[in-house]
Amino acid sequence: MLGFILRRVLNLVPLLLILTVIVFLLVEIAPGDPAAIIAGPDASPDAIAAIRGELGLDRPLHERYLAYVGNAIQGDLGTSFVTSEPVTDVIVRRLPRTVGLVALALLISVIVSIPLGLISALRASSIADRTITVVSSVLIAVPPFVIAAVLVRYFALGGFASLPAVGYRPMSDGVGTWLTFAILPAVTIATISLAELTRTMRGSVIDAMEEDYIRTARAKGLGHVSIVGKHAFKNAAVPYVTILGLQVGRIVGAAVIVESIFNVTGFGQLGVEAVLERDLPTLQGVVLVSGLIVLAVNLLVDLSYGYLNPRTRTR
Amino acid sequence: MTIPHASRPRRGRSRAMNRFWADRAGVAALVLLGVVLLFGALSLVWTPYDPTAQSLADRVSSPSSAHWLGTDNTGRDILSRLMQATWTATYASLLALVIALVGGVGVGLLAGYFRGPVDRLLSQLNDVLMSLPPLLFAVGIIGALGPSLRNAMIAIGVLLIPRFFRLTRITTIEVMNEDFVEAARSAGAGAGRIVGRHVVPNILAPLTTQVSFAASVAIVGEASLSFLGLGVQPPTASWGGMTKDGFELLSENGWVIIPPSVILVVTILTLSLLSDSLRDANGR
Amino acid sequence: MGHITRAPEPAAHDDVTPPVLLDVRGLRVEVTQAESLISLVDDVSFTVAAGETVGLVGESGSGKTVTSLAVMQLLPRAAVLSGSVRLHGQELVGRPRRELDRLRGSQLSMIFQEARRSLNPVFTVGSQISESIRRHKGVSRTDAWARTVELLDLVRIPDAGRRAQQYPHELSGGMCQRVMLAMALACEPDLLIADEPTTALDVTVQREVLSLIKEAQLEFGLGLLLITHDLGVVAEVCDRAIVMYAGRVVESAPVMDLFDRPQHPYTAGLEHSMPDPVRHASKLGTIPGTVPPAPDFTDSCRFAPRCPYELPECTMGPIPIETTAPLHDVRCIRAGTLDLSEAFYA
Repeated sequence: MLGFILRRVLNLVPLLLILTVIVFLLVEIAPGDPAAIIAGPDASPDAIAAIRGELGLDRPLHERYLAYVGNAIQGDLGTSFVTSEPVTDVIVRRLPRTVGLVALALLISVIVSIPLGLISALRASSIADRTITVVSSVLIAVPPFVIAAVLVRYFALGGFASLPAVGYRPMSDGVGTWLTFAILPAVTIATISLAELTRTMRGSVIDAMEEDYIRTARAKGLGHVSIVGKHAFKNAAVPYVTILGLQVGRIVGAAVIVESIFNVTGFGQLGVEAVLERDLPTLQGVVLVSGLIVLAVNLLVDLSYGYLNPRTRTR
Repeated sequence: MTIPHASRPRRGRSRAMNRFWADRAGVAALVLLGVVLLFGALSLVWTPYDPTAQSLADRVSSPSSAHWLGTDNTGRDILSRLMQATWTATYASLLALVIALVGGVGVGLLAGYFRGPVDRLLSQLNDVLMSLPPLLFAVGIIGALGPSLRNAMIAIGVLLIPRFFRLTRITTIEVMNEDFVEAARSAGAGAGRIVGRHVVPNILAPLTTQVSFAASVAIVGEASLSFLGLGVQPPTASWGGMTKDGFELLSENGWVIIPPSVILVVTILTLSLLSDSLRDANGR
Repeated sequence: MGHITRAPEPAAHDDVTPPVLLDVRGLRVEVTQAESLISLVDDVSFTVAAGETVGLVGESGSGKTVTSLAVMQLLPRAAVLSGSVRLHGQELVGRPRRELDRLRGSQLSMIFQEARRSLNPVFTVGSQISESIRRHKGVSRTDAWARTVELLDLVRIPDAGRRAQQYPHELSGGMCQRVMLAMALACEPDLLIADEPTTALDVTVQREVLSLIKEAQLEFGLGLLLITHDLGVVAEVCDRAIVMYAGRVVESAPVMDLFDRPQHPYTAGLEHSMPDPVRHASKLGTIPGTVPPAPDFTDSCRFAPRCPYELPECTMGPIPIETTAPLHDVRCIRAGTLDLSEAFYA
């Protein structure tokens, strides 16, 4: 088992390298001269050159790359062009909000999609199943900001409830308060993956139920609950977790949009702001950290396979 | 993703095409899509009002006889803006698709034809591209290059490359393995001829499926980025931008957000239906 | 349609005949296909006694698997089952699922052809056996596990304790089949149905598994219903054989009788196509033609198109089963009048 884990971790190394290269190159492809931007429009060529020297921009490419990576490992991701704050500090401050949101969104997704998928599978082609399928298909087609708009219209501006539409309260203010602010954005994010996950669970349970071992389970006299909930479900979990892992990338992307809509001032919104303000170091930091997070999550998903599907352990 | 069957090039209408035309839902989707496209194209020659003409006196109104779809927060006619935005969406997705096709199919052909280290390298790069979270990558590119429609679609186009790469590569490999290709090569047929006569006809059908999937991704991507202000820049109209305007007006007027959202969702659903239909027609 | 013939109780009972364990009468299975009801199996009747091995023989398409699943009440919901299936005199057809679940695994068990596919890949083989024990006997985990290891020992799996903790993909096909057998025997059932248990295995392993099944039968006093297409297996292992063709029973007799004096042309044809050097040295042929698919089943003799002894009467109406010799039933109007001792197709 340990060998399995180690092998999976090692697989990540080339991906990590490529990630850092891409992040580093982002600045290179940006038009304009960072030093000139910092110096301001009226600066003299000497002043610009001085700043360039300060930032180390006159050193060769590979040196700068290594310097960047070296610094990054030690936790230094540069300084914001706009606020002059260390990028790492800003990220550390804003990341937990996003993590909280995404975690809540994932929780909602999983809690809703598993039973819906199971019901759909068990009552395949019934009205319940068809309704769930149609709603899922439509939901997949609706972009997150439209969903956010609907939710805000009906749950924030009167209608069914009056939840706050913008802003964020950290958990230190109390979980209840945090929840009232986080619930709408989290639900919005959750809808991105909800449809896909429900469909996956439905499909994989149906597939599992066709297998020979289910017939054996019935021949053993096991009850319906045990057959579906234990035998079929554990097998269906594997494709489900796969899709869940694939959804993480989309969820992170959705978080970016949703945070901006609800003004959650989280990590995702930081990225958007960095783009709009041409704050390259912050942008680099955001892309790097996001990439790391996604890779880490994929690793976790991979590892959970080892638990769920014994056949993969020997590979 | 399905692995298509390499086969001899067919003349005339293939079975897949016949199956598609027989599927009424798919054809209806195609027709609806055509209507939307026309709606947008019309804006190039005529719109009821100038999409950028502001009139603060008439701001934020619901549908009326003067303005069939009402006006937005600066009094601009929503119908005119919607038409322009539809054209923007069309143009944007085409841009992204062209990039994706040229990049994906071109590189896929290279990988499939030459195999060996070239293939390995290209496939590795492709895998990395696929594993990056899409919106993040797009944000990164736009962040580097600057917010504009062109940059947004470049980012999206690049992100769509992997699916075309995989399809082309697999088909090319399959075709190259066929006996008649070996014969053609030993008879002296050049790479271009082989590719043109054998590979291309085999990828056309599954390609249409992938193109319609990709188109819906491009549209959602463009809308999302424009919503954030990272794509189409005002005052050019875009579905995303118009939705954003409507969103900000929600407490004032619930109508303004509806036209762009509806046409956006309808287009995406239509494309989704179309791709399902094409996928079924191609025999999965 | 609806001509139900009761198979006569085996005549000439003496007092030491073991009690009838399984009594199937007039079994009929239908499914809906393209708006009409097609029968897969009809007018099937037979019995299995405790300690008796009954072979259900036929080619694919004969309905033998459907019959076995029908006995277990394991047919998909879309199938319509009629007739009677009685275990220990108690009717199974139409019983609510909850009651059937109690009986399955504890009073009647089944093992299947592809053993590895029939085991759940994500659970250890031991846990799958224990599950059955705990379900029906309500014992603790430890006790169930101990019993599991005993059972694995019984089916001669070496190093049973360690093997029990392995997953199906870590075991060979033969071992998987033994595990299935252990699982089927775990709660000491009275009836065991084995659907082609050795077909998917290597020849050497086949004999081992077959002898294991026979041993288990002796040890537990089971009634054994063995589904197979292999007449060689029938000759070796079975006491009685029931030959099925195109959804119907065409002949049923004690094994010796079946081989010495087959009465139905199909049975004879099957026997003549057996590569058995002792019995039929020179002639080896196959019966020309193919088994009709279910939608094409006729009311009258379904074997007629392939039968060299066909008469116009054969295709005019339903052919009933008749007893032509003690314990020997045949569905053929020319039974007893034909000389089937030589191959007629070679």
